Amino acid sequence: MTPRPLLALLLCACPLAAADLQKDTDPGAVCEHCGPDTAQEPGADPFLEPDHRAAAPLPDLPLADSAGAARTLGGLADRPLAITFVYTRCGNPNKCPRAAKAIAGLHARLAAAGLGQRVRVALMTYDPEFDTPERFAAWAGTHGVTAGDDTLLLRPDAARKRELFSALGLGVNFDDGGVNIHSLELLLLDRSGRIARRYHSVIWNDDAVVADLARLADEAAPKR
Amino acid sequence: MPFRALGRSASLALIAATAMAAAEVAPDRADRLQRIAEAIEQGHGEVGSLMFALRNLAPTVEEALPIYLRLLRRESDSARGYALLGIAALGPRAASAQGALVALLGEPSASAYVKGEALRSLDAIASEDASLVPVLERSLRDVALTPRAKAPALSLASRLGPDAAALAPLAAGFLDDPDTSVSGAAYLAIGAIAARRASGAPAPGMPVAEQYAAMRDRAGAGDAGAIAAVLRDDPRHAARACALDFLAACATWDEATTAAVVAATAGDDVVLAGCARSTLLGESVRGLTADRSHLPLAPLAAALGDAHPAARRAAADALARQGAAAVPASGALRDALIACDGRRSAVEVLALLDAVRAIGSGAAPAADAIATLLVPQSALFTGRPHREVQRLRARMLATLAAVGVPRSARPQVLDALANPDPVCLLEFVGAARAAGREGRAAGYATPHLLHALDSDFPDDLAEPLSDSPAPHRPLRPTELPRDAVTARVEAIRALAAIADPSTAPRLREAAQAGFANAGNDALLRTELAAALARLPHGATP
Repeated sequence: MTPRPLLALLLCACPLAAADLQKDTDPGAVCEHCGPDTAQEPGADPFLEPDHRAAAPLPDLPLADSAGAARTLGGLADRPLAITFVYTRCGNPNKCPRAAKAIAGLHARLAAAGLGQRVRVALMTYDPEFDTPERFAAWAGTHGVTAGDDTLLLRPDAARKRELFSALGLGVNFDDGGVNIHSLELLLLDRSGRIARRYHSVIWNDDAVVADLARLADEAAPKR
Repeated sequence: MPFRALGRSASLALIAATAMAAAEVAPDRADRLQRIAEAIEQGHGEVGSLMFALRNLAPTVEEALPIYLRLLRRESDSARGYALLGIAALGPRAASAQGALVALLGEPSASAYVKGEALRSLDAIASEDASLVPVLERSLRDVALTPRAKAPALSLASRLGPDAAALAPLAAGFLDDPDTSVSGAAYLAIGAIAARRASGAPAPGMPVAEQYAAMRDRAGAGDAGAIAAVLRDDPRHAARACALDFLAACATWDEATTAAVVAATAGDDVVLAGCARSTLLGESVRGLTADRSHLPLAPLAAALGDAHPAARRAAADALARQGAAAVPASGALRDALIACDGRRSAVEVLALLDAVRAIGSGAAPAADAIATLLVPQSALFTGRPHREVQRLRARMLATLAAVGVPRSARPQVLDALANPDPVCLLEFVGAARAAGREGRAAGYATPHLLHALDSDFPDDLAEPLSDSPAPHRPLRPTELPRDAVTARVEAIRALAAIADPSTAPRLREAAQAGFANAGNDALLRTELAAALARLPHGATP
């Protein structure tokens, strides 16, 4: 399946638009049949063409991977990145555990599609104060996620995590004890470290994400 | 009135309403009562669930009181809290519980929470037994109790009148308390203890006992003007607060009285100003205006931005009582909601939401604000406990269901339906109602609503006792009362409103299989039949 009809499907639920799927649809365009409000899938924001993405990459705030090595989102931008956000103390089995399992599944799908070496997937914790590298890795392991070159377990700097989450536009909030509410989100970052698409609210469709990442991997590398 | 503990009254009203709504007597009622009593006796089952089941049976005093008294013998604060709440709800009919309450107050190991609730219950019983004086004296001296917790003891002293003379010096120590519910109660107690007739008109600066009696006499005669003089000119906080209380009881105000109350709303004493606004905008205005449509919307709307929480809450409550007629205040409600952050009490936010909900479809501006506030990163949720966030979001979603669901709220509706927290399904319930409100446009919600038909869906009451002192524990399916509106019921109702023909096979399958382990199986089947009946012609055989 080619990405574009699939994206059009994702972007528009209007039955009258079915005939348009064979056309060279602009994924960001508004459905001419049903107007602007229904042109967007509730569980995904539109895919942004390069010209529509933020002019500047995300701020290079400090991260650490599961080996303790210093990382930044900008430093990871040599490949497109699919990243979701979790924390090991999450009490809702329908959120973080499901998101982690879904990342494991997505990783397998990307490998099967031959994209394993061209893109990365990552889990980032909302709760680096509690989620030590060991605890985070053990928890991720129970959900099928093992750190490696193409799979990252990232911990933001505790003092600057709110700044990072705000820059990423994440739906998360805190009380004195830690996370008190969060959304389910998957961000796709391009090779400039800019957000190309945000999946949210429901576990994403792997087909759609694989197609998005293939498209991002095919985009011309940014000049550095 | 300023001195009333509004939150407590609301809880008791909720209980009373629940009991009245469940007045239909089930055939196995006696058996169920017996089982509840045995579970309490043997320490089986979660107390909150048992209390809910008990209230649904609308027990008589004779049936309920022994159960409450048994609960009081437990050491758990939570169990005792439920019992004390129940006793308070019975009011004077629970007079025979007085001995147990007195014993509890004398128990060295009882927590401050339990003692405070016991005092409230004792106050609710409205005893006029002079033998309580030593108990009240001990409570008023108890350093573990906050002044607010001691206020019911002062209220009881008012009821005892001259018999409580020994308490007057202690009550005087609370006259300057910044909390008007405390200082006002102290003022009333001292006045009632003196209990002599006034020799003249109330005047600023008079001794408390004399002034109280004079104001009481003038209020009885409907002479608001004389009382207003105290409000206007007395430097003492409690005297002025008490004057406001008496003014609220006066049937009519002259212009000078209104001017005095209005002036108090803008005074330097912010607590008193809040009370004045409450008096002006809340109870007294309702009492003065027979036709509620004449309530002054503009001052009520303005009071939503008041510096004092009591005034804001009173304004929101007054607007809620006006229902759809409060449409012109929608903009002010929107602004008030936007101004809420994590420091604003949940009770106040809920009052604003109730006002919006009462307006209904006309409150579209406020609905947009609610949609904005619903996102997890909203400042409204910063610093709040997780369960409080869930409760707020649930009520926000339910409010949108009454007003209309902006498209910008859909991601939150979807999130709540797709990722339900099995321990607390309130957000799921609110989202189901919101999706139902969207009707056929909510096709995006259908797959997630259908999950509620799965046998392993962790169904629970749609409206657990959120005012209960203990955290809610999900009920087991078999514990669900037969008429319980649960998350699953709400999901079926939403599916009925969406009326998607593709759901017919799953609805039919569920209707045929039923939910054998669920106590509310019959209700679920009825709802499923209704949902199937609403599907377009041809979707059902």
